[in-house]
Amino acid sequence: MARVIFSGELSRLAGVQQIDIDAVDVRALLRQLERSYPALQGRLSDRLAIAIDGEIISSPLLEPLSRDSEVHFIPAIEAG
Amino acid sequence: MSTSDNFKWVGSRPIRPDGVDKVTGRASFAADFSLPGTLHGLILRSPYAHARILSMDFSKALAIPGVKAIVCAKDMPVIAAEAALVGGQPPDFCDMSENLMARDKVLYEGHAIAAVAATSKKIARQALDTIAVEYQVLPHVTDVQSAMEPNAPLLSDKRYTQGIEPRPRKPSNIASRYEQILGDPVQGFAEAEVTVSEEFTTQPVHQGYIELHACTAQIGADGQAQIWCSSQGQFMIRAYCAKLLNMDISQIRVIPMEIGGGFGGKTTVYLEPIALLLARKSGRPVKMQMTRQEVFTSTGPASGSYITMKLGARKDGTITAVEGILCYQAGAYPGSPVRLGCMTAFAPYDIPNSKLIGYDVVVNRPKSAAYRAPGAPMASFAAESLIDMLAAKLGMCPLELRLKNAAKMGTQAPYGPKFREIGYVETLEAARRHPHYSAPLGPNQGRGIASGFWFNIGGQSSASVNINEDGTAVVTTGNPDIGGSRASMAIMAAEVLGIDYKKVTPVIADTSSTAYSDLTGGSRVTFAVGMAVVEAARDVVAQLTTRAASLWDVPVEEVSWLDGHALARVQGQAQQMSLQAIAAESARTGGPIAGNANINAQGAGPGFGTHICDVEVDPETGRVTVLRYTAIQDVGKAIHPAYVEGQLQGGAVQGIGWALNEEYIYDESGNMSNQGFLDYRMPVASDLPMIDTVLVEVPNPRHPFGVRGVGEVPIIAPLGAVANAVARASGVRVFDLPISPPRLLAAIRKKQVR
Repeated sequence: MARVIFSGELSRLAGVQQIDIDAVDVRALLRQLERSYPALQGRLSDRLAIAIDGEIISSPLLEPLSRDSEVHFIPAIEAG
Repeated sequence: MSTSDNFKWVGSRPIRPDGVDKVTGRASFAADFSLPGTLHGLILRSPYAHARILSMDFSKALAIPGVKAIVCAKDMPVIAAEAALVGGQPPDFCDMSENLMARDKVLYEGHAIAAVAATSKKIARQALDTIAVEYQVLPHVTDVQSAMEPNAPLLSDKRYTQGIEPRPRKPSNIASRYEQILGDPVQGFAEAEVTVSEEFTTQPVHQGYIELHACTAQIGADGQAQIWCSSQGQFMIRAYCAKLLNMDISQIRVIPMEIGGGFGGKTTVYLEPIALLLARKSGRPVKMQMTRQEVFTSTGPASGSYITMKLGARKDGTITAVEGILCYQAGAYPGSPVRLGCMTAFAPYDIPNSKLIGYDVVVNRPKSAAYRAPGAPMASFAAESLIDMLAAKLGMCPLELRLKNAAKMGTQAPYGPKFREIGYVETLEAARRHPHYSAPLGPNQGRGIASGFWFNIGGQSSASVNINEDGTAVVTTGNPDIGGSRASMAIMAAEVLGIDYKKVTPVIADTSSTAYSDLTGGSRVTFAVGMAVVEAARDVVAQLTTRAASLWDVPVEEVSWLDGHALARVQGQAQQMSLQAIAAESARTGGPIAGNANINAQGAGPGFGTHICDVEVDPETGRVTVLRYTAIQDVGKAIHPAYVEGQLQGGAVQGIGWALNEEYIYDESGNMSNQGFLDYRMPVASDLPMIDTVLVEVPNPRHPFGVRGVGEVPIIAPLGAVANAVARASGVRVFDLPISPPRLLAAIRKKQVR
């Protein structure tokens, strides 16, 4: 089960700070999150990147998740 | 591929392929380009900080012989609000369109309202002077704290603060609120035995690139457009122009010219869509070039900021909690990097409890733009000042305090994820070992240290490696060379192919000649495009070994590649065949040999730096002289150490300017008073000592050679390092940047009066 940890506005919208989800990749994770937490619909790609096990992924979709992956949604990183 | 130091070319210091052309003046920058029959385009800009445009009359201007076209916002497609963001990601194209050409209101001095194309600059200038514009001047606000007041003049009555529930009922200049919480800050402060807190301000500073914005655009009878310009990304220019002008991407070809500095400031468009509109309307090529005054008043500086922060620790120096509020000036439209300020401020430290709130605030100034490590330097200035104040309060060495709390592999960053392999501790240890840190100081002299963090990014990147029939190679990529990337790409290709660096020619292609790449920025090119080059070169090596196997008539599995040669045992004898020999046989073995890679590079390793700064303060004048400066950074693996050192030196110098001198000065009318380098004081070579550098190499395991991005980190620490050094030299701590002579002198005298 991948562990998703919310913070800030996403935590308020979801009503939880973390949740364990059985998903093989980011796409499956996003689908399950939006299904389980309708308030998150359309909010998970808005100006956000995903960190999987400490590594920030830009434009994520097909990245695989392991059974003990830790997933954070963070603001997208601007380029300077 | 090993990340050991067993390299032939990686880590060497050859002369960059574009070096001679750039130092002899042969390199072609955007303003050097012209076409037959080119018109000159100039922009009419607002003299007011905030005003409603009541009317514009172009009739007199159009009657001037030689004036071929005039455009204004009415010539630009209106972008619907629901189409403003592509995929939910910035930039906001509605805002960008209005920033390019004001529609009904001007929001800052220098805001463009119309543009003219004429047969000469003189005629274009004359035409601008005859355009009659009627304004209704409105109250303005340029200060971030004032703009947040409930009764502040509103830049837009349709803007409601996002990130607050329930949705506010009144419009505001606060575009959004961001909250970042880790652990339990209340409990963290309850555990603290010592606290320090303070308010800080920093001023907007410009990237200060030497090359002014410039471009030439033409549109053929078939509607195909070409743009020659200087930018940090030809594909970015293409995409933005297409979106803003409602064109197909395939209708636009962008040819990148050499770039004379960008530092983040050339990651957006100012002239290109306007030049296209003028070219379309006139039927002639149009060339545009800003003046330095226009660059200052009309292009984005880094955000100014107002920050309050508090830090709590145990008496042994263990930091237990931080909290803070960061308010960043976005300029006329939302989009300051305040979130990144919150994320980076305390990232070098293992602090279990933190709460940082960020506000993105619009003011009547030019829209802020990216500048190296967007959002980080100002937040770091506050954080690193507080760390230093805590060290003083505890009687601890500031370096040891940082080491005690340093982030390591497994530390949870304030923004959530846990760090993987990082080298922050190594930079602190290198600082402690460096002779600079223990060198004696004289009267009125002080030493400061500070650290900085940047994420670094990867992103979409393409590369091709073509083997010529004589065994030389051409490496083609799609990213402008700002910091020596041609050399880095050639080095990495040479390393993989096993041929001489001089046999590899790096080419930066236009948008119709190579596959898409994200722009040059975020310290991504050597890492991400480098990964694509390595992958393409490996593709070539695979083809070369296959060709050699065919020529030897042996299974390809029996052929290996070493030092530019295919190796195999053929009929019991050890044989080798050079790349040159295989290339010469390419026609007979299947045709041209070329490798390609198109990737979305992930795994950019974060970067950390620690800087040491010595200053001397003149107590009579408040002048600060930087005596000695050392920049230490974990760079992963330096592909070309000289250009990595150059990145550290350049970042340090820009950060020193941010700390000591640079600021936008506005008068009571909201007009910028220092619109040139004489009055906007950037450091020059004679102001500073040689910037010493130490490259710490903790390899990034996700890159074939261990590369981490290096360009952003070095601008972060100088603000804190300089401020901490000044505090020790003068006995006075300044919380408002820049620490200019009048400001420091006033602080010194205030202390003397007490």
